[in-house]
Amino acid sequence: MIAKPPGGRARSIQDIVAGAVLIGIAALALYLVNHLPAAGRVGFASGTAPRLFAYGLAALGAWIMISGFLKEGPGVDSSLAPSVAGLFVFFIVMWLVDQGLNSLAKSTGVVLFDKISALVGFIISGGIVAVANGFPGKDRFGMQGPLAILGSVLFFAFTVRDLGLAVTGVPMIVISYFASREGSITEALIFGAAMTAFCCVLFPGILGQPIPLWPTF
Amino acid sequence: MELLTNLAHGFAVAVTPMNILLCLIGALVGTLIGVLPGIGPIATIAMLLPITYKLDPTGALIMLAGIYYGAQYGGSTTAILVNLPGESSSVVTAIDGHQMAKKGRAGTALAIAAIGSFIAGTFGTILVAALGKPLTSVAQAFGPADYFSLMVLGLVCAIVLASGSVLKAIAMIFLGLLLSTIGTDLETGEQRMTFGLLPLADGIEFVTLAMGMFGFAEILRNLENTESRDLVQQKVTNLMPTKADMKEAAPAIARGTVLGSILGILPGGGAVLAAFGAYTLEKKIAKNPQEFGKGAIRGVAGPESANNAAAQTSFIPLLTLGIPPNAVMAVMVGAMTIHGIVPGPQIMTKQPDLFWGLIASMWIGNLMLVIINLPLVGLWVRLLRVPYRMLFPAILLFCAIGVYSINNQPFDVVLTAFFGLTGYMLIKLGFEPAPMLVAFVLGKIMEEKLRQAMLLSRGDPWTFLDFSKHPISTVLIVVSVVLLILAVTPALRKKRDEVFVED
Repeated sequence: MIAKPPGGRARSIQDIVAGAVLIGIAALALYLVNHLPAAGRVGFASGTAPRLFAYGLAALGAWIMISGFLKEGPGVDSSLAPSVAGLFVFFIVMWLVDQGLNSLAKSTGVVLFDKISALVGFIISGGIVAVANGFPGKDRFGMQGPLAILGSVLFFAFTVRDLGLAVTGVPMIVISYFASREGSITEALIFGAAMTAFCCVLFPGILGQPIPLWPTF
Repeated sequence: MELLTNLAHGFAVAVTPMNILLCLIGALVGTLIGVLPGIGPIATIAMLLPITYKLDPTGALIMLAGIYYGAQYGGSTTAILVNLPGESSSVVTAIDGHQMAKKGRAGTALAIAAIGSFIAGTFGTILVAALGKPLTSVAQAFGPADYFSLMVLGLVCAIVLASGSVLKAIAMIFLGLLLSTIGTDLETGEQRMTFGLLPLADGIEFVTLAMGMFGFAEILRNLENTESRDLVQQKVTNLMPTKADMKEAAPAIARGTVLGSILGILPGGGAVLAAFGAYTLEKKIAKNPQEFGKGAIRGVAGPESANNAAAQTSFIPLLTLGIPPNAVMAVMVGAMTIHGIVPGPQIMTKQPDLFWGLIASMWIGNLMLVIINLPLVGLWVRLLRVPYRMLFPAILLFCAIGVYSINNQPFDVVLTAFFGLTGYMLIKLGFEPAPMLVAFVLGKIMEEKLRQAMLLSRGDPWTFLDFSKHPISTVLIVVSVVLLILAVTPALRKKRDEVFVED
């Protein structure tokens, strides 16, 4: 895993990427607090602390990045870049779909859109998992695990309020099962049904959590 | 004598049937997750937080504390029998523990681990009780400036003691601090970095961050490396160690207990560092170090005592100063906040039931754990046959339900998934997320204290170093600076890295 580029210069890809990520986060934060005052009457205002921390983070990021060019160190998994990038896109798409449908629902007054957003969430997450799973040369980006895990959690997030725990639980577990390379769909279904039943009894039942149990159509 | 009265009061609180039951549940859950690799106390405590809503604060904290020290007992079982650390604090136990098991001495190893843990737990509990009063009175003399400087020292310690790159640890601290400023500004009510999202107006919910970084990210990482489980098949017998074994292990238990107690109190320490430190110490002072790695009983006794001692004493800074020394204690802050308790010196004066009840319950819990772990070891071993492919979907579902229940907010679940992804990426880039969690919890209080101190000094940033006005603060800042310089000094860094080398 030691990255040794041609030419023999020592460098650590991991540190270079890590530094770049930190600088990126700091830049985003600075952009977001741009409208807040940087200093107030007694030295501190709402924008002071975030700016201080963001500058610190950027400086550290630069330091880590520079040291990455100077010393030898580990590289990054080849799957890291595509999977993280792909997942962030996936995330943003999911969020936009939900936001868009919600605002559409508000402007038209049709509450049904909420249900559609749940459905779209289900189709997107399920579809992506299926595609990732069925690709020739199975799981070539090493994305199947993360996709299935996050897909199942997002599916839960987007559907639980409308469909209820009793309906959401089984597909959620089935989706997450794709993350593992073992097991069968039958096992997933049986295990999912058992876990869902258990959680339905435990959380809204015994513990009295106010989580919706059945679909609210 | 006052200590005894207080402890008696604590036991009176802790032995009510309800609290005994909660302590037992905590110890059982702790053992369970300790035995199971792939889920740790941070994610578990975060996951169970919403469940404790209906309990009274004392009962809730008794249960959650039980999970932490219970995990220290359970972790050794897996380490010894499967050569796989059930918990990161039992990584070093696996080295010699599993070798002992291979030689047919699994029972002895398990017994020594449990006995050592119990002795260390008892000592740790007494230490918490003894140091509670004096530290609380010290903390009561603290002004905003002193508090701020104390937290700076805490974060510096977390950097010094973190494993891996110092630079990356500092970066994680800054990231945690930055994340803590998201939400509505305390003084002006302005929205900071919320993307205009309403659910972010109250800031990032602590549980979403903890669960994402430690629950989901761990699952993502575990799924990548399919582990081979090398379970020792023969029946575990001879749970009683011989006299010779005890004589051999006793000094290691004593040393582990003392070292673990100290490292537990220090910020950035905790059970994991304690175990590593104890193993290194045992190896260094051993007469024949070549025995280590081949089934040396001291290699089990030392670290196992140390991690449990640290699990108890890490409550000291939390309960007396209100400062979480490690990530697990940061989650405990989350738990206290949910129940409306502000961690700090006022707990002891305003909620003596909680303070002394929790301490007494720790000893009761340790006693229960010896019974839970030794005679019932077969039961826990059987749990290890549950394949991971069934474990992680269950964890996911529990986590999702738990996060959703905090505010009945689907957005929180989405945010948890986001942090899971971020945590996975950070781990891949060689970052350690634990200091970030501590910084996130401290960040909010730090900014508040900083601004109070600045207000009191009319905007003079040198007030923290003004010895005539804030002597405590000045000393703390000077110590922090010295520590930070030492941390980046090559000689000390080399020493520090040696502690984390496993073999």
